[in-house]
Amino acid sequence: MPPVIDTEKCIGCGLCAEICPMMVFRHKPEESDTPQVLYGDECWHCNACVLDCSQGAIRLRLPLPYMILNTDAANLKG
Amino acid sequence: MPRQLFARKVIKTDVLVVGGGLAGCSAAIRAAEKGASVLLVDKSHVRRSGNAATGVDHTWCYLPEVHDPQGFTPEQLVEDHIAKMGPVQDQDIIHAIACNIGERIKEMEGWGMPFKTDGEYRFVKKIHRVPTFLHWAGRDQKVIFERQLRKLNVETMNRVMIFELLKQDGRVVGAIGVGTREPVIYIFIARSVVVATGGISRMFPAKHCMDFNRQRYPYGSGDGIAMGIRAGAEVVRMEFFNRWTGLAHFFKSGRGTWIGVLEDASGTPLSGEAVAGGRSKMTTGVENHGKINQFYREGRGPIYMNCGTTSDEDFDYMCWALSNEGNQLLLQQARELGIDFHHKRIEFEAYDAEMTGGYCPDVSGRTNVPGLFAGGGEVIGNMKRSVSPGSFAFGKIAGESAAIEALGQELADPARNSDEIDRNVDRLEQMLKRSQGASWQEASGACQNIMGHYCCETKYENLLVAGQEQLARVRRRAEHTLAASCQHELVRCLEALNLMEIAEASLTASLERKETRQDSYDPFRRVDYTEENPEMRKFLVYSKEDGKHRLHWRSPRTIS
Ligand SMILES: Cc1cc2nc3c(=O)[nH]c(=O)nc-3n(C[C@H](O)[C@H](O)[C@H](O)COP(=O)(O)OP(=O)(O)OC[C@H]3O[C@@H](n4cnc5c(N)ncnc54)[C@H](O)[C@@H]3O)c2cc1C
Ligand code: SF4
Ligand code: SF4
Repeated sequence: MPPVIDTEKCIGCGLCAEICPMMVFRHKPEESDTPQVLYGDECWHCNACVLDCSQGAIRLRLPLPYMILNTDAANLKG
Repeated sequence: MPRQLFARKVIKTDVLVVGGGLAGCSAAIRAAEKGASVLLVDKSHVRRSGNAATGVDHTWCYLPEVHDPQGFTPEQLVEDHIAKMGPVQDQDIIHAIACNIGERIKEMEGWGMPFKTDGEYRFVKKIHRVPTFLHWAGRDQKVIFERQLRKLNVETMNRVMIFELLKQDGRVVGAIGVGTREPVIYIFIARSVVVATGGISRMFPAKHCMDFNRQRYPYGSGDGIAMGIRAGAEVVRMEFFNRWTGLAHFFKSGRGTWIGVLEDASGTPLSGEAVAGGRSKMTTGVENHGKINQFYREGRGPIYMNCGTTSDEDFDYMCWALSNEGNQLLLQQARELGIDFHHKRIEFEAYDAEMTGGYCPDVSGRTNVPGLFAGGGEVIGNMKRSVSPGSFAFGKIAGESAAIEALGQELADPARNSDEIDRNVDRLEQMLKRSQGASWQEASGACQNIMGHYCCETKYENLLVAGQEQLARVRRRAEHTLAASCQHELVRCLEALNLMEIAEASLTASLERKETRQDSYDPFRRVDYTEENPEMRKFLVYSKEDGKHRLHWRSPRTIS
């Protein structure tokens, strides 16, 4: 589930659910203040929710298949 | 009487803009400035919807104050664009964008778009003879667009997917939409309609099995193109696809922003140049996906991006650019995992195939269907790499044309379309009522498999014909068995059906293009026709009439 919301920090404003360009969240204030991450596997990792959350309550967890392959640079020149 | 699952609402406006990406916002704002009542409908939310959700960091442009003194002209820009991207493009469209983008940039600067950095325009040289790529901090441009829409009181409706155009007497008079969260059917009646739903994503199988790990906005399923085809619109370049190259595993745009050397596993640079070219040259290596794939096949992979020779100053510049082009997460991940791009090599690869075709409007954005305009940007197929400048400038042009068109038109009476509307509502209700049936994942997966198997790298007659048959079978079955348990799934089902509409166009056009073409941007290979056919150096125009395919060839337009 890529976005992870810190329920301690979240104030339930619902902005992330409103603006997510995909449809990852569901926010039903009558059920819970914090939006639910309902369709995490449809996340595009665009970072919009992280940028727009005024409380810094969202973190994105990158799924395993997305891990970047890196090695030491073999031929660093100066 | 069975229970109605949907509430229905009829909404009237002068100009309906379908899609609120860069092009749709540009079109809506212009139409409103021209005095029309405008309704902008987006299936997502305009604040962050579309390919530019969290940024576009470069916009190619002709900026008179910068380019005039260099003796560079819009006509030369068109020449270079053709030389680099191939001759089969409508030059009048490229010219119109080149002539309008400067003014557009000034105008958007007035809204607060930060095109200048540290008080000046940063230009880099890419596909044109002089530096035309304006690098800017475009991360929050959609937020600025949304603010401007509000300022002009442009009515905006978010979370509504438009899925069918309505016609009367051959003319587009509106559209049907469905709430992506609420069970509401919207019947839009308009004097003119601008389609600006962007490009086509998720058409081919995902290379690493994660369907939304896509370089392009995965919510863009070519809806505007598919519904246009159903309404009789002509589309072009449906037989072509291209692949971007970039960071391996985590598919993101931004390849153009890297400053470093692409090299093979042994550290041999692919281009022969071992030192990073600096910001004026960006990546030193091979941008061509075909070549990258070939290196992998020849045993030279993994291919790496090496920023080791990039100066500190250039490296900081690169990170600034990446953070403005939707790559903030990448930089943050690298920090968290302790991956220092400056001193590590990171793997690059060729991405999924992606379609690049679309509408072929005239220079004013008008399509062949009266009342219907194509709003620049990704939705048009008659120029390549129109990208953000195309959206800003040609979106505006289409919006203006639609507003002018609206002046002389009456609003249609939706009662005349009631059978068609009922049929569509019934179709959607069936999907929601089926307790068992095919899921949207099955439908889009089946379509992607067909495209990947029959209509991708290897094409020849028997294969394409088999693909057509298989697609027809899958599509019929999907229409009768798709099941959705909520609005979210319903939207995904409609998207899958739209992808199938486009797949049909692609298979049909691929069958007709009996040649092989080695263009680096979008090569086309037929195993049974291995030579280039000069007669086919044209647009293959595809449309549908009463369910039958129509194809014809047309020469690209020159500057009028
Ligand atoms: C990460 C990334 C980086 C990029 N960097 C650059 C760059 O630096 N420079 C550059 O020039 N280009 C860049 N591009 C390309 C550029 O972003 C696009 O060309 C441009 O945003 C296209 O704008 P558009 O309005 O045509 O389409 P989109 O931005 O895709 O907008 C389409 C809109 O239509 C809506 N929509 C779709 N279907 C429907 C429907 N059925 N009903 C209602 N609404 C619908 C969508 O929600 C969306 O808001 C980049 C793309 C990506 C993905
Ligand atoms: S935007 Fe932030 S504070 Fe608001 S609901 Fe989402 S996580 Fe909570
Ligand atoms: S990263 Fe983007 S797609 Fe993913 S949840 Fe956040 S806003 Fe939605």
